[in-house]
Amino acid sequence: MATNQYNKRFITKIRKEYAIVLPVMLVLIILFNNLAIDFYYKVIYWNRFRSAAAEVADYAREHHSFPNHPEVTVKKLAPGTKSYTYYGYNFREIPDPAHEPGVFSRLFLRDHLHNRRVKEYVTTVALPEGLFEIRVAKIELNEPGGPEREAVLFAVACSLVLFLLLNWGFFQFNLRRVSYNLWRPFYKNLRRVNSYHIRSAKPLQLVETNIREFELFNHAILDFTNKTQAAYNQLREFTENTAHELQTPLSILLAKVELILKKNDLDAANRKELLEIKKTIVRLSGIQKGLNLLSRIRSIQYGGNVEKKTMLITGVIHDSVETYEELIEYKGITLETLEDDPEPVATNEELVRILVDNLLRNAVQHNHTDGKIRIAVQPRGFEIANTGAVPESPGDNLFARYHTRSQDNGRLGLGLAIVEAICDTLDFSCQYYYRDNLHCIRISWER
Amino acid sequence: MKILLVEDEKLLSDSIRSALVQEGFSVDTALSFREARDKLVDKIYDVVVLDLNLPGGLGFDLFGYIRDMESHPGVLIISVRDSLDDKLRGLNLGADDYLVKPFHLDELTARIRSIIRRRYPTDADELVFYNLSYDMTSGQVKVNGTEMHLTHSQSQILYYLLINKNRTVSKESLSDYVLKDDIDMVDSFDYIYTHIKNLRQKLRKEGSEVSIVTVYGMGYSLKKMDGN
Repeated sequence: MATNQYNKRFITKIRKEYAIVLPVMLVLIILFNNLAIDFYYKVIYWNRFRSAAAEVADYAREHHSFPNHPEVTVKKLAPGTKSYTYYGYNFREIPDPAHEPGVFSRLFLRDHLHNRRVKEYVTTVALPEGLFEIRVAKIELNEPGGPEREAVLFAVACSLVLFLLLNWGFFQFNLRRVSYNLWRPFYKNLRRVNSYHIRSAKPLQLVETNIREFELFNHAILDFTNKTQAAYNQLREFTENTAHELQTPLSILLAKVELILKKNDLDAANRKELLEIKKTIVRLSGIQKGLNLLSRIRSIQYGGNVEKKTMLITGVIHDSVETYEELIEYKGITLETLEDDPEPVATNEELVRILVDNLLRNAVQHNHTDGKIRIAVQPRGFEIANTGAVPESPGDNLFARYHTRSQDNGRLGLGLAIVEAICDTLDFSCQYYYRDNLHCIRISWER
Repeated sequence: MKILLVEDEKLLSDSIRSALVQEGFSVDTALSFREARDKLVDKIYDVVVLDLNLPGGLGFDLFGYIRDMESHPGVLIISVRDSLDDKLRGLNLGADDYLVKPFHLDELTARIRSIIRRRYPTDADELVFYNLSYDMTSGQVKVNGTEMHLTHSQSQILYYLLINKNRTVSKESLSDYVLKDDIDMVDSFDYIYTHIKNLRQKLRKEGSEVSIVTVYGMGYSLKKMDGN
């Protein structure tokens, strides 16, 4: 099974790493062990000597005499001597324990016949009687319960803690690595699924993984998206073809009606009826043309290769305004154009022209007589605002709302769908809002 | 003038044919690619009206035969394809004009006439009707040699009336010709009416011998003024 192979390979890798990491850990622990013993003598043991000396000094201050203790020797120093403190090993003649069994019994570390290794702490203390030297000495005792044993226990405990910490850290690290490695193909594919668009020409491609569960899931997703995309393509092609196919019967209808209209023996009522039919045919054909354009934009988007060139939006807007100049004048609309330092944008000129044309067209068509159109060009976008019918609900979603409106000839919904499709294709953002009695549509190329 | 109408849809072909015959053309029809090819090889035409989607081949492929003809006929493409690519391809292959279906029959005849005019130029590139002249290249309109200042729409209305002079042009075809896709943006009849009113004023002011006559219930017609 693929999973097992993957796991085996990965686990072998971790095992190999353990073979290196464990000796390194051991060396570290040995070094640390030494450090711990050193620390024990230099800090903990030293601290005991220091407190013993301090106790002696306190006793002397209270009782004006020094306690009699075999480990403590006191010496009066000459006046004017500087105070000092030292701590270390020394070799000194110590009375044989055989002669004084009560004090130092069972001694067995001998360096010389009578010299014993002692640990000494020497410090000076200023008392009212003068400056004294206090010397605390302890014979090294290699016996259970002595400082050696304590030091070893201390070091072992410290090492153990370190060992556990290191192991825990390494374990955590490996755990994370395992989970990262396990989930990596998943996240990779998740990103691909997220960026996948049904309108793109390429089918969804997923990274193959050795993990059986993910592979099963990938297959399910691929199966699903491929089917959906196939259905979408079918529908898209069908719409495209239908849009074209429908123009032929419409042409026939139009031609027939016009032929009848050319006959002179028609009475006014019949002529009027026929004119209505003709108008309807023209309207239908207009809707068809809109649908054609829409499907063409979707095909461009589908093809994925939108030709782009750097251009200024102002030129396109000027051209469009020129096209509708007479209509604007005819309707008595005031046109206001504001330009705020527009920046060139790399985009598809044909689509931008259609976009601007559609927006301006809407602004003119759905305006009332003596209305107003304001075109504001900004550095990274533009806005077309116009007066018009007051929206029934204050909602800002023009795209959803106008679709349900019946009195416009179906052209506005289509026009907006075209605007939406172009914005989709060119990665523009498109916002609608109604403010100060103006319908505003803002297009910007900063997502 | 002989026209070859290449259109596979029988019903449409019949209608176009009768409209063109009414206009005084002699029309041959071809319903398939093969038929069109055979007729192009055998006969001589002044204009070929060509549909692009044909049984047996694409209209584009007929251009080879059209170019081989000695009469060098003008070509008007009629197609349901409205993409810029198709239009450019047709025009690059040597078509004179491109008309997207569905179209008005008036528009078709107007385009055919303008192709013929271009093929057989009579008076330079000018349309002349009494003392009114229209320069086809610059779009200038002159009355007795003095230029008239017209808006784009007015000049288009006048052009359309001029190529259909003495005939009645329906309001619909006129508004369709002038406004094209913008037809539902305004009340098109009112729009045409307003412009025609202004045009009449301008023509009268310049002392034109022709005027735009309203044919009740039918449309408009450009005619020589009665009386004076």
